[in-house]
Amino acid sequence: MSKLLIIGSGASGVHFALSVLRKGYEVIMVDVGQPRPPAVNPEDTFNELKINLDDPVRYFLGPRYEAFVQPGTEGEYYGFPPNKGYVFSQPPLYQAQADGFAPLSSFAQGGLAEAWTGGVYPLNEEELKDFPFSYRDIEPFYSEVAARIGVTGVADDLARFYPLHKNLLAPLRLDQHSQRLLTAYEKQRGHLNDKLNCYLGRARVATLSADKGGRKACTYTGRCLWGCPTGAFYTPSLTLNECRAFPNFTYVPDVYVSHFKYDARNRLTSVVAESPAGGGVHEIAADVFVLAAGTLSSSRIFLDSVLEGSGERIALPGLMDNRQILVPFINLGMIGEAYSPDNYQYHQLALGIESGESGGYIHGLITTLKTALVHPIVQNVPLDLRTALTVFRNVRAGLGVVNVNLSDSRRANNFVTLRTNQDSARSSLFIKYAPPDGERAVIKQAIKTVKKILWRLGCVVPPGMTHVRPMGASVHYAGTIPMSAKQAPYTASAYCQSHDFDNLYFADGTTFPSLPAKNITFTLMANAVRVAEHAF
Amino acid sequence: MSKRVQIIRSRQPAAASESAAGLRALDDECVAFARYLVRQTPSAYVQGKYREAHAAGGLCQRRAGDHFDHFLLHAAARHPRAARLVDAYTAVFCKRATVRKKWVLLLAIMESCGPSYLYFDAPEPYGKRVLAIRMLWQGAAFVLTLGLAVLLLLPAQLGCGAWAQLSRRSE
Repeated sequence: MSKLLIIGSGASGVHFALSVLRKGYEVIMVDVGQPRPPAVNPEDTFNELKINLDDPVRYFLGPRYEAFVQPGTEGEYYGFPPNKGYVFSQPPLYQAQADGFAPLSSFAQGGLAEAWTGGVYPLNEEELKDFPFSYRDIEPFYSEVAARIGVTGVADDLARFYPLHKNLLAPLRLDQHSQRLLTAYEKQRGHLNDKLNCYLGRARVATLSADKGGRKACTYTGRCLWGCPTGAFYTPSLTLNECRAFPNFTYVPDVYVSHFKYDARNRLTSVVAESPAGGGVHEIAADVFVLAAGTLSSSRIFLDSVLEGSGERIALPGLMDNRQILVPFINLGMIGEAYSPDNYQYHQLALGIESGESGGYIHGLITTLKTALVHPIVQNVPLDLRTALTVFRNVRAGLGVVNVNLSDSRRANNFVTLRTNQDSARSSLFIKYAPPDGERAVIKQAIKTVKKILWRLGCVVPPGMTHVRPMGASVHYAGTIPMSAKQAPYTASAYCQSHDFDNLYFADGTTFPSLPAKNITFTLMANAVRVAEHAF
Repeated sequence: MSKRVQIIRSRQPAAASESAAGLRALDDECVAFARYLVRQTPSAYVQGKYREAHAAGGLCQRRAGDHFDHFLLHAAARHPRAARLVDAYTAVFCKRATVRKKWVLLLAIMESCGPSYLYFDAPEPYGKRVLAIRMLWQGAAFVLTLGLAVLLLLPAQLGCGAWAQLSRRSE
């Protein structure tokens, strides 16, 4: 049997690996692989940590106070947990520059989805229209991934947007605020459906509502944002651990892949890699190679390989990302109520808006704010701090945010390429991105519609607090080497096999020909399994 | 001495090397700001973390040569009424003022540990209607305070700016 070498341990890489390991293939996974720190006091709830830890400020704000959000930091309401800093820690070997884009990359064990919010949304027929396969083709793989990771969801009004695949678990316990929003929706359904084309329901989330395998169901400690201490909330490092139990699996961390070597027949022969901490360059040979390092890193390795092999500095067009808009709101009915942190913390509700003319389907995730840090929010309230804090305490139980996601499409003027560095022999990745024409009008319309929806649900949007996030912030990157029926350079087959190197496969978002508004992580995993099942 | 305080003390060699007077001033500032913001006297642990954050450098460094920034900080630490005026003024006109950074830092510390986090969690003990009226009143009070702050602090800001310009020219 062939020896497979997979680059990257993110959501796509680990599910690809698990599928081929079960078939008996020998698999080597190479990865920079920053490890996740161990969970502290796993039994404690969010507030118990503040009492029981010897140094809680160090835990919540970090040893260098890196989670402290200084006044004047524009628009972000979220202090990133210091214990998740490893997810975005960059090895010095990786260098990127960007124009019109704020790129984020992960070199962590488990990749970017170690810091995801667990949203699991299958694409429907309409959203797959640019893909070389239909919903019926990918449905078994959505069901397979759901069985592997545990996905909660129900058949409600959102089923018109989210197809129902197999292996859904019962939904999680709703927090009081989400329950109230859902009740308000049921009362206002007629108006919201008919006048605003808006549908609301339970989110699909990758968190266990019942014990599964060796994993325990969610215990509602309220620590989701700070890293689930029990493994009820799915992250790819759990599947990586599952892979490690196979005797035919070798995990090689502390490896930064520079490029592939290939022969005269354009067959890859090895990867050239080095330790991110410095040290010698070495080669690892294999029969088949799988790029699963995430769209930016996979593109960089591909570009470097072409440059090393042919001397040609090419550009890969079509980079996509979801534009995200944060719309904070206050539920007036919840003013003065006590807030409870002992709940699931990420979005429990979602909304879909059918927007005929402008931009198609709009995807919204409704998070009722609970255990996020307070100080980044309070300082953004347009009042003096003392008054802002008092108002915050009174409305805290009714605070929430809708994260609005817009779709994107491949455009030639958005590309990645390599640029020579002035101060180093190594090339750096250069990313150029410009939003589509007319995006401002689409954003304006989307915000207006979401505000109307929230008003119907008994909520108000505080003036001046809506935030359009920069491109790159959603970290749903895709599209630089798209699947294509035509055998053109820098494209891939319907099964994500490179049209340039026939023993190279892509398992990540690099090959997506379009980017629907829904979070793509679930489709990345399902597509990786689809490719692994078909090609091997 | 509690375990928490011991941990903080053992982690601040930089702070320990500063003058005792400087540390005392920082402690006094922490107490004044905590009383102003959350109506509480900070625990020894909170004071230790406040010191530690300042020793970490860069977080709340005063802007060298910015007399108005120094004036705001000094005034806010002196009296809660002055703090209220400075708070309203910096919320609109000087969001990056050192005093505002220190206030937000203190909030970040106090929300992260017990028992001070409880203040952030609980709403005021009134019914919905009373709370709504109180919040409207607080909003109106903010507008009035801001008006007064502009009357008092804007001339001071302009004066400090002019003084700084004159000093630069004479150098």
